[in-house]
Amino acid sequence: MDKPTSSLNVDGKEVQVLPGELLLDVLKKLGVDIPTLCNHEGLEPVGSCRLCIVEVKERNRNRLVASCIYPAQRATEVRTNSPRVKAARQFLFNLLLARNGDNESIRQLAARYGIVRSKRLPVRPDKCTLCLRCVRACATQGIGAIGTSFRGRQKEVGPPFGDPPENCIGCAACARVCPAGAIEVKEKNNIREIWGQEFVLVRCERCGEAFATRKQLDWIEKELGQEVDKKLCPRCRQRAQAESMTKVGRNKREVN
Amino acid sequence: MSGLKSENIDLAQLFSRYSRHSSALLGLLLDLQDEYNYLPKKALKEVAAYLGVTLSQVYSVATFYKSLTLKPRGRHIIKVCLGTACHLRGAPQVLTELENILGITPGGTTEDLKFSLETVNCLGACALAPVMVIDDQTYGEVTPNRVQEIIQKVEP
Repeated sequence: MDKPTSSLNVDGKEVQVLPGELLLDVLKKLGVDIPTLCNHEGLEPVGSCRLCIVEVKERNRNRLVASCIYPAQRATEVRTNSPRVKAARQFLFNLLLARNGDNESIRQLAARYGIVRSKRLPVRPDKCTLCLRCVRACATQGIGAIGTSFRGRQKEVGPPFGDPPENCIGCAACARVCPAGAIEVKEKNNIREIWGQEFVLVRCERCGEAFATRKQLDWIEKELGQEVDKKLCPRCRQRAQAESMTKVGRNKREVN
Repeated sequence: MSGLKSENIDLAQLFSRYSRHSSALLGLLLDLQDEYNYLPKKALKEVAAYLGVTLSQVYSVATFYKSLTLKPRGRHIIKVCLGTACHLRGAPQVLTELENILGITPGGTTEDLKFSLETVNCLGACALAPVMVIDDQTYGEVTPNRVQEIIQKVEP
């Protein structure tokens, strides 16, 4: 049975959208260029950075919405680059640049939309944009070692009390999803340092790549209740499997 | 609830008033603060374990609200009103006098944990300006030279 689609006008073009589909996903499929920061394909969208704002028409009223958390079927029309969208986007970029003006990745993103930092704005040297990708990445895995603390201008991301978090497994997923390079990870010999704690790295027996921390593998094993391969990295594991299957195939051919 | 018994507070009993659900977090923290006068780290860990939420979530809420504090506060809380009426009638001088006597600034606590000093923006008693409140007792028309006397009368 076909799901009931509805029609949506995107910048003058009619498209069909499915129930539950988020507007940003629809726009991405159409190849519309929309800036995003907090959005990440592996994480629940929260709409915290608001860079993905677009103008929608719903029940004959125009509103600005964050497209990453907006159900596409609610609107009848979308404008992705109207004067109102452009003005709001510029404003948002200016706020971001005021907080993170020193951050190269943020500056580049803003420059792509033709926005450079206003010299009148004072600059805070923060790297973090409070997009909360890291917090969600940690919570999504069921760990929740980091969160936000305080509020307003003092708001920051980190482990509770600023102490090395006891439940951190050193997976560094937080640092990997960070769009601003704000989370420090140091790797030296077989030790990874993150959030003021050291973790022993496990290296692949074949290629030597450090693919996990010991605590991370132990944790996965405990949570999944099954044994995990602690010797090979995912790529080499796949290769090893392919090799043994090739052998099986060769034997079969020889028999025939 | 090990380790907290020495402080004579029955956490288990306090917790038992709440269901083990994240929605009970704020209520529990407020009750906890009533008992301890602040939120000790150890107790926050117990709260996280009881409710089945992460310590980072507990910490996030505990630091978000201004009425929750993670630092030990004094046995008596002094609130000096700095609202418009009080300001005009000399509240800043009253505050300065308090700061000098107690040796602390707003947000601070004396070393003997007797007093904490706070400022507020209006107590709704502008006719009595300048106003200060110690615990639940309101003092109106305070002058800098009355401050010493008022402070001395507060029980230890």
